Amino acid sequence: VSESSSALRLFLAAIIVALLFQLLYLPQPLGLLKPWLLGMVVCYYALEQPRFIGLGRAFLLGLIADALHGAQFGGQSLRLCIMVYLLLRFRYRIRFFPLWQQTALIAALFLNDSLVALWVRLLGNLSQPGIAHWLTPLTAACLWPIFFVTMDRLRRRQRVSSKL
Amino acid sequence: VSERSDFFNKGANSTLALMIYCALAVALIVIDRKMNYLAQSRQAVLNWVAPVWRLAEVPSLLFRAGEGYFIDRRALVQNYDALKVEYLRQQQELLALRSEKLAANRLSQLVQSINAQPSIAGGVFARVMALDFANDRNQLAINRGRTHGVLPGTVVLNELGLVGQVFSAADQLSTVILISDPKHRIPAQVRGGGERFYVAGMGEAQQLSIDQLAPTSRVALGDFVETSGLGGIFPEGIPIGRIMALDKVEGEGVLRASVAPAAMLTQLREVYLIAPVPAVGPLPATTLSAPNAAGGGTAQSTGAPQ
Repeated sequence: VSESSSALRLFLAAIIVALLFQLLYLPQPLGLLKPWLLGMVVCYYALEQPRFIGLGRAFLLGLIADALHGAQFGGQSLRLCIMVYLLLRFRYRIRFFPLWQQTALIAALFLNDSLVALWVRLLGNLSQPGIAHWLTPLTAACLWPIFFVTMDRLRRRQRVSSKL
Repeated sequence: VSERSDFFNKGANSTLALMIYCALAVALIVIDRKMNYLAQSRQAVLNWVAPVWRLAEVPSLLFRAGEGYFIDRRALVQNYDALKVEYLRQQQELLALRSEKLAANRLSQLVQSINAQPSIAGGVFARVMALDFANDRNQLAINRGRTHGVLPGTVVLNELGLVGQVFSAADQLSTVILISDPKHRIPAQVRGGGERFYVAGMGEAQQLSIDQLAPTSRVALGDFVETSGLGGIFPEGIPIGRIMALDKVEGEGVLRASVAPAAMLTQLREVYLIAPVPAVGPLPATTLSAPNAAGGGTAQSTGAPQ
């Protein structure tokens, strides 16, 4: 019980940090490279601990994120659902990839996601996105190895501390 | 893990669930856009969310504050430098304008005081095109000529004093022989109508000379020398210069004085042209005739006993 509750705590913390990060204003040159951290957290949990993330939770998280961001409702829900579905579908294969292949796959996934996001924007009658929109897959891919390793370490430490 | 999340996770792998959620999401997006029903609920949500926004804003606020400080400082320093340069430039311009105004005032006073007629209708100023101090020749070229009414003998001066006279005039330009030219002699007097003498050029822009002063002369150092108006050409009262030195010439029993020209002959940029006055005075008219008669060498020796 304590192990799963501490893992849940880490999951919630990661989600909260990701949501806050999304609201964080970064100065211009950095702002272009701001990753979609929520998507990365969701990807990580869909790959490593799928009991925390499913289509329903992805949908809910998307709604919360949209509410926080003041964006159109449903946009991030749709994006997260598609991501989670793809990852859960091919999870067993992807988990045995080496990290660099996984990273390439994440890049492809995020590229797909930016296409979905573009479609969502068109659907919501929003303006065409700028260059930052198309940099998101790149930043996600660049950050993925660091992110993945960091999350693994955090999880392992939690497991150890909860066993003590 | 609660029951609710079990419900949400139940169809995790099923394509049907994906399609349902996608349809839901699209429906939300479209409703949000078309009906705007969600605007009010979104307002409520935003009110709840505002503290979270504040929280997320803190690091960037700190960052921006720091950045703003440094950028402002640098920008201020740059701005200050630019303003300083601009200030100096304008100061210089102001000085130039002031001195130009001063010069114009002085010139107009001078011209009024000698009651001179401008030689050019509509444009009395001429620009100096070239200065020539080489080979004992002290001349300059100006951009006015016969088409502007300039004739040989036209008097050339600036706001400081006499410059010379036109020596030969072409259609569009003229050459001026300076008072410092060795062939040039001017009937002159001490300011206010004192002693009369001739001031001759020596080929030096900084120095003119008075060759033959009587030993009894009362000319003193620092006296102002001006044109006497005798012999025509030059009207009376144009400043020539100031006596800078007085020497006894050995064995001749005369004094020689050197005069510093008032007009800065080496720095001429613009000169003023006035018509020569007709010859009136005690000297015979033949020797006072216009300088173009002789053409070359002694043209400017207006009645000087050589």
